[in-house]
Amino acid sequence: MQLRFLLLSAAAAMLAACLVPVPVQAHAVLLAAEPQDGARLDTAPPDVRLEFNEPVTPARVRILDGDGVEVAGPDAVMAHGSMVHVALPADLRDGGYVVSYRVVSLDGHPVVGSTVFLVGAAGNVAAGDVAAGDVAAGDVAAGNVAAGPADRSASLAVAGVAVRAAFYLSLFVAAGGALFILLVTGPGHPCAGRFAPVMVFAALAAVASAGGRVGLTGAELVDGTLDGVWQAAAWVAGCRASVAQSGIAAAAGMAAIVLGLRTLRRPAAPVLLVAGALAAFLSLAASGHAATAPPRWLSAPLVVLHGAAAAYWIGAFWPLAVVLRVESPDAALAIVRRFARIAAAVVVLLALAGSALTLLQVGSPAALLGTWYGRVWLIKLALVLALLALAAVNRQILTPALMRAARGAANRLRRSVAMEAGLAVAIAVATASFALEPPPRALSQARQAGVDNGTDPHAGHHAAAGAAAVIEVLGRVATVSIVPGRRGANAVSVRLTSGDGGALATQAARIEMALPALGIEPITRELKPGGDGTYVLEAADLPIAGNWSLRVDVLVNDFEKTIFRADIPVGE
Amino acid sequence: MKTIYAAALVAALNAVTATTAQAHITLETAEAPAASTYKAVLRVGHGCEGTATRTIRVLIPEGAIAAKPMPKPGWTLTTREADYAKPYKYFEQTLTRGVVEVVWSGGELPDAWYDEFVFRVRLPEGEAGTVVYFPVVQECATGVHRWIEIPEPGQSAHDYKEPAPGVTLGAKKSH
Repeated sequence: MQLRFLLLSAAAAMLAACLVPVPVQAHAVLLAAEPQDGARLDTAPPDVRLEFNEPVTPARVRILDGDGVEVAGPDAVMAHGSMVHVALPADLRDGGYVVSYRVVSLDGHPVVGSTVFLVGAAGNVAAGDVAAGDVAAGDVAAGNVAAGPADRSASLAVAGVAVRAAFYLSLFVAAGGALFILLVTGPGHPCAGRFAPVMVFAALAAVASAGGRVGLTGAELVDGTLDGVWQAAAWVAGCRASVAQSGIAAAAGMAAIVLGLRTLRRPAAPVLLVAGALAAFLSLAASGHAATAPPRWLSAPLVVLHGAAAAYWIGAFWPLAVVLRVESPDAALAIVRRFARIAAAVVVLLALAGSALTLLQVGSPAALLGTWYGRVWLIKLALVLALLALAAVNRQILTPALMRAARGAANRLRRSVAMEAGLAVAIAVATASFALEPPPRALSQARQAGVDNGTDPHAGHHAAAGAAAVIEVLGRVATVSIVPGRRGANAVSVRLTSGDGGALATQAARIEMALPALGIEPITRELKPGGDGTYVLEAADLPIAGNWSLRVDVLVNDFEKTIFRADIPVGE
Repeated sequence: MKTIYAAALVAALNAVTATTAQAHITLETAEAPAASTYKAVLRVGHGCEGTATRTIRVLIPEGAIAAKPMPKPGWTLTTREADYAKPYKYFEQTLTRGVVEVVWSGGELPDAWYDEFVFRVRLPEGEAGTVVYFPVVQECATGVHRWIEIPEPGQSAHDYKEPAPGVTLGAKKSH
């Protein structure tokens, strides 16, 4: 009896199971999107179409503009079989858009993803302008904004160069004048007091331009345009960058020098002048590409030496001019000769430190012609050689003329010194122009140290200028950096190493970028090998600012994949 | 009455199991006792984006020993042997080397058809609840699917698009 019941129920169950419709056993796959993922269009499209390989039900399909605002409501979404169609409003403005879709396949499994498209020229940064890996993670940490030229307005770049050049010149006039007083004339010399007015003016100018650097750096971090200087956020951002530390050191040095100038007859004067000059030179090592080139224990002291040598030379022009005008030819001669003797050694130091810094910054001679940095360097070198030639003329011709007390010799020497000063201004402008582009060593991505975005207190503001994150999974380390870290086209680079910093052999890498706060599903891109253990994505369009969640899938070997996850903020 | 209810219950259970998403390559038997001899059946329900499957490669993970694949007519079966990370006791023997990769190649399984790829393996020792993953690489006429994602801590295979087939270890059975 019971057996019969069991058999009957089993048969009924099997029959019932056969009647339950077995769903198609697949996930849907997006075959094509119109506009294409990553397309750059001249005019706004009338609609968005997503084509899948099987009929799907749209659960949430949204089109968002660069501000994260939905431009097409849920009523605009229609599904015809395997095609999802979203009508767009007619008056779409230029900019970047994200199509974020979440659809349900026949087997009930959701399929998600996002595509992006750009309309018009606004918001488009040509991919070539922002080369991947432009900023190694360490540069971001040092507060160096080395974004591609298109990401900084021309006026901001020019202002930056002008302020930096003014900073160097005024710093060198003040600190170099202090060195002149200390080494050549001595603080007790009657002329020393005559140097003071211009040096004090230079000290004030140095402090003012240091402040200007803070504001302009902040403007670049926050806005990218010169108008950004008027925003309080720019100044806050600048104060957190390394230029602020540099500015504080410079200001302290200038204060000490001014104090020393006012108390020249007192025994405290030399101490104040030395301390002030030292602080000024140390401020040069606090920020800037040159001082942060690896290894830092070498590059920072080299910058200090190079700066001190340059200051000695440049800071001597004014005192020399004064001496030649005021003193008798004999006294002037003595001073000039003393200056020249020391200058001979200082020039050697200048050249050696400069060469060493060049070696650290420029990877190969080919980079000298091929990169912006290299070309600026060649110009600076030409100017420095011209200056050396002029100095040689001074030494060989004009100074002996002064020795012979020839008529007008002092005037000729003063004119020559004035010409040297003019060359020095040009050299300062050239030096200030280096910072517009990353040096070749940063381009070659040799940097090992990373920045942990989560614990770096500067992270919030550095992020707007390029952000990086270091993730470790199962003994493998990925350094992910996004440049410039602002909405629009970004270059993504992923550097992979083993836990001890050694090379990691990998086969391929893929990145998914999502913005969970706005519910934007992941945009998927394949990364291309960039050599030396890195993978790059030249132009990743991230049209909306916010905290993007990145997932990098790295294929280590045929059977093994490591997943790295990081949150990286993308600024406005 | 009781039989009708029973029939309905069984039918419902059947229906539920029948609708499990099978777009992924999965193992037919999802649970097995630790250190037991396990018949692994890889269910391949799809090719890559509609194209036919031509090769199935499976990696035998560390700890799973004495792997023996089942040949399939029309497919070329090859295995790769390597040293184990440490010696394992297998019945009266101590094994230090064995099959670590099984490859069925040269076949043509259209997307519309289904097939199973079988091998037998001694599962590793482990706590009940541990999942042992067998990463599978599926090569098709166009494209490759790598079912190799091992869930990160706190996640399960359901959270991934291409998870590795896995079997959950149960309590070890003493014979």
